[in-house]
Amino acid sequence: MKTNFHPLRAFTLWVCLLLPLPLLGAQDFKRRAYQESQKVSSKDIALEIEFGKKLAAKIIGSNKLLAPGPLTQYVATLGAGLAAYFGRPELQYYFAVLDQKDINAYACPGGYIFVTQGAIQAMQNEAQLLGVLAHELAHVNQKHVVKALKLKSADQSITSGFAAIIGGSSSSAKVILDQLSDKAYRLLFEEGLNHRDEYEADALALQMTLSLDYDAASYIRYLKRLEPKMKQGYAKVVSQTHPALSSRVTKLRQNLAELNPERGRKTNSARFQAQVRAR
Amino acid sequence: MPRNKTLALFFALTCGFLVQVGWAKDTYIQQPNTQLRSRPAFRSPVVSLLPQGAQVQILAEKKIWVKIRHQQKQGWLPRLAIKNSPPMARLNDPSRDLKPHKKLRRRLRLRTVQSATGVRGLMSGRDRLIERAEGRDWNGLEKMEQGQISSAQGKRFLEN
Repeated sequence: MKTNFHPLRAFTLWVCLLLPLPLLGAQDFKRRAYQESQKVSSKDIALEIEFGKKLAAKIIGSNKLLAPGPLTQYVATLGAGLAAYFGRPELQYYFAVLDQKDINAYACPGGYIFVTQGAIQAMQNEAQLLGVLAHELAHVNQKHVVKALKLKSADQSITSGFAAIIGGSSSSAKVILDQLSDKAYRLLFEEGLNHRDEYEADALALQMTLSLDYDAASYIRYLKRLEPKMKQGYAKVVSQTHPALSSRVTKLRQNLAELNPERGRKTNSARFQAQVRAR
Repeated sequence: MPRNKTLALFFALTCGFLVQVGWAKDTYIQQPNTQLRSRPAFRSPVVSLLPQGAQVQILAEKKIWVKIRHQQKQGWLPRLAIKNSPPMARLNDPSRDLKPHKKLRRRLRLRTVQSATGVRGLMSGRDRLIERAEGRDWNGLEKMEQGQISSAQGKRFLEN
């Protein structure tokens, strides 16, 4: 028996039959998968924040905060602007200045970022400060400390890694959290992060700076300026915990050449100098 | 057209359709009031403010900038302002109780009261001793949190 086959009719039938499938099936599956992942992620993030708080409190305990004034307000405002554009939406970021001559900046998980007064004094303009804050923001965004401490398990969730223990209120769990934050402190002040993470933070800082129309070359110039200061012993922690400045500068120059930004971007030197002098 | 060729064509079309609808990468705006600009430059005029979580379609890419479409509007955004997953709700909002040290201090205070009732001044002294032993300055952290600046104020500052 011969059947009449009409391609157009068959096509219409196929489309009508299959149209709801991806919409109801795939999209619903994706939505449910996302909702489930959000539940796990919320626990992870809450834990990351608690961990970051402990680490930040330890940093403040060992290195005095600069008393509130125009400089701390300036750094907090610049940082808040940066985080409003490029921060992780689930985090509230906090920025502070440490009353320390040594040149460095630190990022704790959960959004606590510090820059030393010595680092600010080694800078010439706002673009350089923004570059340093953006570098630290990138560490938080990419969860470099969390990854370095191997808090993530194979399923990429820190919850199964240690949240199960920490989530409880037992004193032993608190001790573990304390020990981990002590380990993170050593990581920031003595051992340093993975060099690959530092280069990644530099590259992201460059992108953030350029996106906000600041002169990204200023950040590279700042790193270059640190070399003699390092020899004078003013950047002990940076030299101990970061890749060699020369290799960071080389990589940043390569990144900048690839992006090839237009000239005449802002540095806001006058505003920076006024704020630093007014401290 | 032979029947099996037509079927193969339909199969290919269906697969393409499924891939496009089911597995296509979604792109979402991460921050509230994200500024959509007329050109790929921060100094260019803002054409629209996009809400957090808005799903956008990428039309073109230019180094660190992407051209997107949202509803009827088109414009440029920094690449870092979008992600393939929807944004999460803010978790460390200062209004939320995420201060474990406060609970710890309350417990310590209670214990102090139980062990030395009526000895005022000892409580704060003991708190200070414990904090020093831990090497953590919770009061300093609280001051740091109190000194936070709003996102809107920070954004205005960067635009000047």
